[in-house]
Amino acid sequence: MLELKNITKKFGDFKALDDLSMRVPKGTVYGLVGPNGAGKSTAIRCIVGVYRPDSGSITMDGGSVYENPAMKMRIGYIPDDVFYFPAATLEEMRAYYRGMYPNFDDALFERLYEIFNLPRKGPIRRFSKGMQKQAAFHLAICCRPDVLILDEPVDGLDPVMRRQVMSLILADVAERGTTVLISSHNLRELEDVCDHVGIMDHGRMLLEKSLADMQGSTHKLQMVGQPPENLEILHESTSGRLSTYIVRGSAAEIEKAVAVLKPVYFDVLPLSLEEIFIYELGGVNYEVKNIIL
Amino acid sequence: MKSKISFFNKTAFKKDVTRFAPIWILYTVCMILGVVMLFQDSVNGYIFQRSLCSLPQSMNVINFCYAVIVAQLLFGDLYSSRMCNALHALPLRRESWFGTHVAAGLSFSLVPTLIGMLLAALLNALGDSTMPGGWQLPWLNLLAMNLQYLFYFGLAVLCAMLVGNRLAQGLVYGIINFASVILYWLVDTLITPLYYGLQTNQKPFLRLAPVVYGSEAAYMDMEYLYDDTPEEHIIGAQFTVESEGWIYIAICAALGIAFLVAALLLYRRRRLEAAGDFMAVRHLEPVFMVAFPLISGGVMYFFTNDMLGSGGVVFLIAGFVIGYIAGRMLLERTIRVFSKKNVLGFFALAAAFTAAFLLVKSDPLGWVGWIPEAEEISQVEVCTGYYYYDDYYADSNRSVTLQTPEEIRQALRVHEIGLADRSVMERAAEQNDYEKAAEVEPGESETADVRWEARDGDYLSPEGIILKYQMKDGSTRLRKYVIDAQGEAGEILIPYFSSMKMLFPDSLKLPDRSCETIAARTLQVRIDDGWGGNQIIESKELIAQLLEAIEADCAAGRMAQDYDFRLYSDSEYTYWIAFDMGEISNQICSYSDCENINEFLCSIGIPHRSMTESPEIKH
Repeated sequence: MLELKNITKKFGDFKALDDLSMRVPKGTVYGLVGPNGAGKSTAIRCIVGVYRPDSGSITMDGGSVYENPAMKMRIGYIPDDVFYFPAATLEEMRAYYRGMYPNFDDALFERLYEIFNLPRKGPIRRFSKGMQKQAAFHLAICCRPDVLILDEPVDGLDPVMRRQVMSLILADVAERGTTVLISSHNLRELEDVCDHVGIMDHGRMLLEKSLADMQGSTHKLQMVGQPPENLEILHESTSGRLSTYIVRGSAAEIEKAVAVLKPVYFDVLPLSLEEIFIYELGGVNYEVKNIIL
Repeated sequence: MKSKISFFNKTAFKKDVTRFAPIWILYTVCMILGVVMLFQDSVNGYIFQRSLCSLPQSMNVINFCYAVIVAQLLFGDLYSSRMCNALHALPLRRESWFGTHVAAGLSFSLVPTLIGMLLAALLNALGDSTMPGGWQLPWLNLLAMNLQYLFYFGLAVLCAMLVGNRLAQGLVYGIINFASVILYWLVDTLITPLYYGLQTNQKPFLRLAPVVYGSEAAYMDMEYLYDDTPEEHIIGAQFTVESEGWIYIAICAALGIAFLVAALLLYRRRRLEAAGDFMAVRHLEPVFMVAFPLISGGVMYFFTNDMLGSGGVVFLIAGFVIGYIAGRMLLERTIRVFSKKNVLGFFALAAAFTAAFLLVKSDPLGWVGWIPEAEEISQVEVCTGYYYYDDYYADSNRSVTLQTPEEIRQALRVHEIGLADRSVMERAAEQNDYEKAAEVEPGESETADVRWEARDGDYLSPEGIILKYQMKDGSTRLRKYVIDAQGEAGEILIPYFSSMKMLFPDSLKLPDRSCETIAARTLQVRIDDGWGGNQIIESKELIAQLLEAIEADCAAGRMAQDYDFRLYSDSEYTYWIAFDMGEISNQICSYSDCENINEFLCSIGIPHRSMTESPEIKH
């Protein structure tokens, strides 16, 4: 498990991370969402041991990550802005990563050539932005990491390659139980792949939950008539005689409570991920809502 | 679980070596070509070996440049946030990155120089030199070059850790390397002029600048042995290892290691987010903001005051302001630096500098007016010339050492005169200003030339005098003044400078300065009138007579070799009289007013030109 406890990081007078805490359970795909400038990349750079937090702790399975190669060997990292040595070819980068990561899987590297179809020769800097991103995946996956950390990973990839990359990652999760942390400023990119989501803003974690928990704990109730008083209603709206309520609780609990009143009509519906976040976050600022809507 | 510390990573080292191969391969090629050229230019093995003896001096500047380039390449990843983040996410500790880069950096010097010196050793062995121990020269060179490189590389790596971009690294590396030279220059330009009579000694400053001193220090010396033939063929040589140069270079190398250790400590604490910033260590920003405006102001002052001759103070202030603004721009990486905080900072710094300037100018330690008590003085060396510390001028300075109470009293009187009359030079310049003399007031009938001639009436003859006090407590004090050589101070000093002791210095190792002794030692005297005429006197009797004439002119106060002691002497008719004493020759100068010498020359048929021609130009 990857755990951040009360992380604070300042750049001069600017507080990029403000008492940030988060937990990424083992074997999960964790989506870290937030508007631009929320502190996602800074948090990730702290996690991978590039930045040293001013305070707080970052641990992976109980061990510190910062300046700890034994832990860092278990982490694969694809930054938002990928980097290669200026004249390096993919094969040269493979040799470099092989030297750095003892678990580097050469056989998988060969197999992935068929998927990514990248040239073996020729400097990577001559590749298109999307191809450079593919090369980063090519290398990172072959390091066989226990934790894969991806900062805005699908920027620059076409929809087909985006799907292919995500399915590769999910296959790795299914096969090896890899923990994946993906950051994005767009929730829609992540909703199909994530099972945990954390929303950040201004260096703080606003909300962190498992999708299953959230989807099971909040529902949309449509009914004619007044709702029961014992329901926790997050939001309500009325159109003609039909009222729509966002209610916290399981579908069975809600149905049971409403059925007692014997309304003319009622229905309990699941919420989309977007709707859950809109109602959960309530009064947070416009930028946060913007990433969801 | 914490990983153990490792200082080396094979993969990173291999990458360093291959990634930056062009630079060390180029250096290797240059080394090979350099050695081959030295060999080709040498007509024999001894000349080649002599070239090898002076190679470390030449390589000093090359190492200075090469080291910073290598450090910038190896640690340049720290200056790009993209590279910095990607590389530091890899499973390596900073100690490993550092140790690996340092190992690569050192190998970038060791390998090329080793190849170069292997070639030199081979060529040395093929040469015809039989100098004992000559085989050591390439290996001593190898050691010297790598010790030099160790210092510069250590400093360049330390600079790499202090800053956040390549421009800053080069700038800070240059400033630190030349810090003592810059400091000397600032002191000599801005502070010493505030202290009348004091002179800045540049030698200690230069010693603190290996880039300067390392190019002058001797590491190995070599002397040829010649045969007895008129052609003087080289038949052998012997070389010596100069301890001074090696001690210096060893200290520098130790400093280089200390710099590397300091750099590692800084790297371990480095904020990687500083990539791209000017300074990576925040605590150094105030130091930079003091040094940069000061250097900027000093540079502007130098170029305007010393080179253009005017406007120094205005440009000093302008340079300071520009330096402050530019410094803030570099630190803040924006041109929008005109905030209230920065303006207040500027005025605070300006106030601090002004206060320091006024404090220095007020001479709180009383250095300017200091005149020692006679009983405190062990001896005084009186030296003519304006510069004491500069070797170039020191060679041409003449000095007498005064020790008796009466002599010391006279020296103190010269000190008092020099201190009291500070305007000799200005007054002399004013008198010699032809344009000023040529100004003719309306209605005046005087011509410019008449006025020019008339100025001779109260002619001033400025002479630089340096008084070096050796105090009884062991300390040494030095003062420099300009005196009127035809005034009271001149009257005191002329007898000392117009003496047989001055004309025939101690270096001749004469038992005494009697005419007989000198004549006995002299093989011949050559008299050169400076116009192509030469006469040789070999007769001991004539040489003795000439010496008696010189002695008589010394007594008359006409033999001071410094021109300013000689009122109305005519430089057009200088005679050079060289006493050939075998291995050494002593040359003295005779002017047209040296009546006794002229009379002697006339008696042997060499009339002084001043006796046969009217000088066209008189001083």
